[in-house]
Amino acid sequence: MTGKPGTVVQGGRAKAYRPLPEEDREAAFRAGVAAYDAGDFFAAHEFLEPAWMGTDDPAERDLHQGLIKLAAAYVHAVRGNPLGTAKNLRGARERLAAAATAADTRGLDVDALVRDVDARLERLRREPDVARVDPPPLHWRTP
Amino acid sequence: MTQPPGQIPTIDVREADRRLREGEPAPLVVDVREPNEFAAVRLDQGVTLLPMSEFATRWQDLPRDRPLLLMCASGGRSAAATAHLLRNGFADVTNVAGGITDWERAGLPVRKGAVQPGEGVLES
Repeated sequence: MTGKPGTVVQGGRAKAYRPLPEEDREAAFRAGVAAYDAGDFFAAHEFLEPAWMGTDDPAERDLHQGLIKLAAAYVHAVRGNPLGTAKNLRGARERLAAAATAADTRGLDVDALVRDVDARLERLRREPDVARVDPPPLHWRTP
Repeated sequence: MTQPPGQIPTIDVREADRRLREGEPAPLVVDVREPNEFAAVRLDQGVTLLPMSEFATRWQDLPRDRPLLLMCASGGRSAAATAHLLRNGFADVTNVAGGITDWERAGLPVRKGAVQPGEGVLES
C-alpha cells in the first residue's frame, strides 16, 4: 500500500480507491490478461479488480475497469446469460473507449479491442445466441 | 463476481480442518483477503497472508513442497488464485469453498483483532 484507502469520483460516482504500487498494478494487469487469454474469465476479473482500485488515474482506471467488464461479460456468457453478457459488453465498450486516448495502455491495442467489442454487440443484437459470441482476442501494439 | 467456476480442486472447511490436523506434510493455508479483512478474523494458526492485491507480484514465493489450501472470505477470490497457481505449475493446490465465513460458522478456531508480529508472514 502506498496510501490510505478512500474513494475517487469516476463517472460522477464515488468509487473505491485502495492505493497500490505500480509494480503490483502492472503484475495484476498481466495476471488478469493471462487468465483472460486462458479463458478463465472469473480469475481475470478477480486479478484486475485490485489494479482498478489501486490507482486514482482516470485513464488507467478506465483501462482496468473496461477489461474487468469484458471478463465479466464472458463469465455471464459461460453461464448462458445473453442479457448479462450484453450489459457488461456495453460497459466494457464505454470504459475502453474512454481509455483508448490514454498515453499508456500497457501496450494493449485498445482501439482494436473496442472495434471487436462493437462487432460482438452487433452480433448479439442480431442474434442473441450467446454461445456464438466468442471473446475478443487481445492485440498488442509493437513498441 | 461472487461465484467461482468449477473444475478446480475444492474442499469444504471441515475437510480443510481435517487436512490441517492430519495432513503429512501439513498444508499451508494461504489467505488472499486484504489486511483489514485478515485483522478482523483469521485462522488461529498455519495461515499466511498473501492479499489478492499483491498476489500477482508474490505468488512465486509460495512453497511448492507442501500442499496449499487457498482461502478468502467466501471462496471466490481464492478460486481465482487457485486457478492461477495450477496454470503456473503448482501441483497441490486446493480451494476452500465458503472461506473464513464458513470456517467461523462451523465453530472452527479463529483469531480476531490486532495482527501480532510475524503472524501471517510468509516464511521464505
